[in-house]
Amino acid sequence: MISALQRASLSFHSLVARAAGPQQEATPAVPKVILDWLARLFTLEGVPFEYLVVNPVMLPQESVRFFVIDANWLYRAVEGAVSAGVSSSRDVIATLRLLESQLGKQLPSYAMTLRSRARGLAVEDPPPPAPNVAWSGCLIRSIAVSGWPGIEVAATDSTGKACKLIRMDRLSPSVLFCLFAGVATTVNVMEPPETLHFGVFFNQSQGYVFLRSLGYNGSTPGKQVTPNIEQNVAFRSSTAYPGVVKTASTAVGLQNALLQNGLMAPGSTITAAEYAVQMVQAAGLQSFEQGAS
Amino acid sequence: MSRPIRKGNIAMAADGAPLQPGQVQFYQAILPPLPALDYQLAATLPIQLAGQTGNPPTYLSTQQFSITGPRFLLEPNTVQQVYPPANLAGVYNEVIPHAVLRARTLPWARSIDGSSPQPGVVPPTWMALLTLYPADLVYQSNPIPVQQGPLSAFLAPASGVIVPDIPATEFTADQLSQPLLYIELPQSTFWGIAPTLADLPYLAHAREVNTDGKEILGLDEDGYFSVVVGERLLMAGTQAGPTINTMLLVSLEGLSAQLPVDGQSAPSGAESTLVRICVLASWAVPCTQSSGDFLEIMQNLSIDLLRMPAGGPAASTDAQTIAEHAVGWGYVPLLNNTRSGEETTSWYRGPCTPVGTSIDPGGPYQYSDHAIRYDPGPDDNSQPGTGMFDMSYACAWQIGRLLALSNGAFCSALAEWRTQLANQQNEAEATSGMLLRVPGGVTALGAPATAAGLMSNARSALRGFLAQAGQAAADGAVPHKIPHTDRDLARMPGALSSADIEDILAQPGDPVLNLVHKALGTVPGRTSGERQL
Repeated sequence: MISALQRASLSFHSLVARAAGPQQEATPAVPKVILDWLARLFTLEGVPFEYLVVNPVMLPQESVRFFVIDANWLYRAVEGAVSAGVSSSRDVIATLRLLESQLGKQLPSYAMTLRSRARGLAVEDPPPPAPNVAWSGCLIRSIAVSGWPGIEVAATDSTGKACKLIRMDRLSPSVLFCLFAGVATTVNVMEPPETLHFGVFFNQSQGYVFLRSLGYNGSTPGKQVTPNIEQNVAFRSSTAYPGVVKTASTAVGLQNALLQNGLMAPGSTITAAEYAVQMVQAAGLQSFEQGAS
Repeated sequence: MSRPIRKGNIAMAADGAPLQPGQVQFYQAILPPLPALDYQLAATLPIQLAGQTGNPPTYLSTQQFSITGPRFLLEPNTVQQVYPPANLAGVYNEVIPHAVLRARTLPWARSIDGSSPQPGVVPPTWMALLTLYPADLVYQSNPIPVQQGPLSAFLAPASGVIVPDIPATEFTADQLSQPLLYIELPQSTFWGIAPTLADLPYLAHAREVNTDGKEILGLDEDGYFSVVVGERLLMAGTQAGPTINTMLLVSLEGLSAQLPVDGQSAPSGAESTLVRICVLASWAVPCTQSSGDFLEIMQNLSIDLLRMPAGGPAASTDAQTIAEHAVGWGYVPLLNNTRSGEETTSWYRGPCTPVGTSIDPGGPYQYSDHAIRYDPGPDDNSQPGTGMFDMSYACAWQIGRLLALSNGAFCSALAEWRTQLANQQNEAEATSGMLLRVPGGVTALGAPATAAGLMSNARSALRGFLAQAGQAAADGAVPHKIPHTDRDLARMPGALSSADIEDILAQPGDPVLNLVHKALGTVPGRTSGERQL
């Protein structure tokens, strides 16, 4: 008798599970394509520039403007988006339920993984739940944006913690839009490091470089000598063909300066390797602090 | 604004130390084990036979072989990366260009003058990177093109043209028909921009990179690379637009006699003489107008929060003060056509605000109009305001909807998902409706948290079901069955009751025959005895 009851209860198990299913389980998971598109909208992708910067005087030429994100605005935009094609009150209820049960929480965390996804990096799926949307960002409108492709931006909050970059996009050739998780108080703008290249600084028409250590006598190789030691770069005097470095004499000049400053073993000579270390131009970094001026 | 930081450091490994992630190491050169030349391999085998005296016979075998390397043409993937990047406009006027080559020994793989390399001596590189300004690519008012032709045409002498000193006899007919790219520059230009022989040793080096997955010096691949560096800065653009600088990675093989010499002017007649140069790679770089150093530009940026700039006369009324605050919080007054057709001024603020906001408890909204806010006018003493609508969130709702509608893929995915959802709900509804009809009301079970709970729920449900099905279940007699005595025999054709059987047995004659008669209903009662004779 017991076993018969057990059998009966087993078949009941499935019955109960089926009966309880629709109530227990929330709406089915949102398809990736929908989630992805909404997350992009959540990072203001595709939103016309006039909706972000209403009046051009808010972002004049050569300016940087800080802001925090109004999460209400983002949620309203998402609500508008998912309302597309709603044809009955039943659809409305389903949509609102979807927003409350899933999207409201998923979108911020998904949006924070968009950059990793775009770069083809491994992403935790579903992404870990993000705290409430406390995002901030900055808009930079400058010829530096158009002149230095690949510019890099990093931000920290008031406690010095790094803020995750959620989105960085050029809204036009000279306007850069950056979105950070957390309230960024310091924003560092860097020249693209991959453009580490040979280069010359100029003071009027005199070109120069700063000497770097070569690892001699316990120094850290590659480190710029402090205080800065300038060493001039020689150019050919031809006016018809300007801008040509007199490489050999510049190298000899560097060698003498390195020897004089004790950066090279006495009697050693400069080769292409030492020349390269001295001539490589490292990226510049500009730090902006909100509130300070 | 803080002081600019000139990050002047490069992450390098100490001499002899292994390269750490993110570090780079520079080498003067990486010499090939065997330079690209013709070689002869010789083997001798003296054989001393037992008991034989005198010089043993010697057997000699030779094998010719050549080590070839890229000479007039580079494989497409030889050049790993160039800087400044091709066709990417930027401010490059303080930049010396370079090309990163995948082959680590390539710049030292052959000699500039065809001489055999000395062991342990770094030869001057045979490759050079030339920067050509637009004016350099004009000869007698005609643009100078990069030409394509077979090697035979490249080496063929021509009047007024200096051809690289490479004898054509070195090559087979097949090699001579191979195509290559070359350019004919005025000798004066070549003299002006080509490196001197003394410069060459500094214009190529090798790098070892450990990128740790990050891009360093333009390389995202680990390992050794050779780098050929130019020596001419790029020409800056003007107000009118960027200047196109043409970068040429050329072979100097056979041109060592034509290289400029420091302190000497170009040979006479250089303006009307051309130098033919083999082009290994070329790219164009638009260089925009110089507006100063990156850091200078950055330092001159104005910093503020994203809002309308303050200004104008000071607020004198309450309403003006309130409006001033609103502007300070990022609101912008905009003209607005209401649904009823009248024109009014309403507040709008984008998603990027100068001040933090708290979550609107009213959402989510079904229509954009739900999200319109009204700021009560200054007449309302309890809550002074501007008396204007705040359309910000309504605008957000609408632009979200418009963006969705403009994306067909998203809309169809949304519609499909919504249909699936509806179907699923319909199915769930049908299932629960069906279960409701099961006696005992299965849906009243709730959702038991544990298997034991489920078991006890199921048990009681089953008991209820059985209680309804029959009285016997109440006694625990499961399953319910009906005894034969309770069955209605009259409804079963051909079935005989025990009384019928006793009746047949009591009759005279053959009982089997009687049974047949009874079953067929043909013979009545006792008359059958007549046949018993």
